[in-house]
Amino acid sequence: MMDLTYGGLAVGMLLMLIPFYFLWRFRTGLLQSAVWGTVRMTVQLLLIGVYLRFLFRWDNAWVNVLWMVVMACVASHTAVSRTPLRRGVLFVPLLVGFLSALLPISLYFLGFVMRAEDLFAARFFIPVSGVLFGNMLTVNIMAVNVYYGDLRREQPLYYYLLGNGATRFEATLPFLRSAVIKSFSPCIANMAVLGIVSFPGTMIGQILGGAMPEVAIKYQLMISVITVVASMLSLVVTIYLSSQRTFDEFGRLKQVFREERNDA
Amino acid sequence: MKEMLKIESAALRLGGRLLLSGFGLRVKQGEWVCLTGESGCGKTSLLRAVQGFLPLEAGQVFVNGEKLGRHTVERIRGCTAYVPQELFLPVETVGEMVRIPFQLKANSGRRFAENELLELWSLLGLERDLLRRRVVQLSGGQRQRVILSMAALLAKPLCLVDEPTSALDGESVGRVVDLFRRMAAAGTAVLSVSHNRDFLDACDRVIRL
Repeated sequence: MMDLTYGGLAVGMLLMLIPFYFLWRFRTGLLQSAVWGTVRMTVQLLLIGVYLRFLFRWDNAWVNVLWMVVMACVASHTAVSRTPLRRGVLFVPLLVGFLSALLPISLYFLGFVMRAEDLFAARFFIPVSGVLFGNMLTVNIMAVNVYYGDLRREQPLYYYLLGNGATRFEATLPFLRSAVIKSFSPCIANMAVLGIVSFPGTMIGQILGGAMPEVAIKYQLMISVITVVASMLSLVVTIYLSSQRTFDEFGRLKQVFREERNDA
Repeated sequence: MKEMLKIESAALRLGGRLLLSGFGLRVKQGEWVCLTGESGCGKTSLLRAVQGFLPLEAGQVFVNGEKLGRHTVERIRGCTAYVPQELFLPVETVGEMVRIPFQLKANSGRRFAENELLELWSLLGLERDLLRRRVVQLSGGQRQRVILSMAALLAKPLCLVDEPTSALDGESVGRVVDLFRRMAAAGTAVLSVSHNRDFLDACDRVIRL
């Protein structure tokens, strides 16, 4: 496999000067955050490289599962901070949503599709979990923001439906539908053009790493499928569990938004 | 006549302010009662409390003989039609919009009858071809009348309506009055909120809060 030298990496990073220049030239105010984002990305990825090396060396199922739980906590923490809901309301639903989607889907893929002998082997379990986490996080943040944002903004519609006999599920369905459409549209659009106008990272990484294109394409296909499935599952579980905490027994939306708590 | 709505010794607080205290009201089947009063006196809040959207600080609400509570709230809402003052339904066409309440499980026993709807529209001065128009093309007054016609078509035992004439001209107010008389004559108990003089003059009873 062809490796990249750290010198080569540094030369590659010089390309970032081009967007930095235009961000500065157009006075976007984004230069500082773009530089900070690049530094963070570099440091984080280098650190991940270090701990993945240890995880791969230990190759212990319990350590790998523990890593997954820690990642789920970090992902839930990140998602909560990017939504307007209070931490106490959303953290556990997100955590359960991530884990309940990630475990069965990654094990299904590794066991039935890849037929891996050791389902929790670090070289299989960690990368598959990682790619699922990334997509679930994006979808969940978007879905939770749309769902609760619309519910808060369009309360007359919600109460109109309830007031005319809707169950809570029926009354929240327009908001759930909107959340699913907005969070999944980019996924579906990306899938539709995969291989035509976009070459996804998994496939490119495998080909550059020396895999045959046919093998890389098969893996890419499966990765696309499991990310969509896991994202949908985690979204449904998160919305369902959070709804148990955000509505009272009369179907009223409780004071679950951060600024409402501060106002009170 | 059967008592459709009974409110007993109700106290209602909103944003720390006591709006109502020791309030009582009875509305019989086929009766049309109107709540009026200054802005912010609790008219809309009272309508919302009848459906459990706002908690009462004290007192009780009975609908069709059943006390409003967490175990009965869905049944009570099932026998109620509710029209808020402002509403935008997220569908493309008016034809889709008028079918929304009929798609709810609680209303599965109520058939959507287009001919009856068009008859109500004729009473309300709405044109038939509105059915094919896009919702965003409706004026505020047209939208208000379409939503009222949906409530009338549901023919529930109790109808709660908030400011049904706020976007209407004088002639349209008269048409809405006719619609409410017709609903009451068919046995629906109507509790509405209004400031409109013609509307208040036409109802069976006015309660000033």
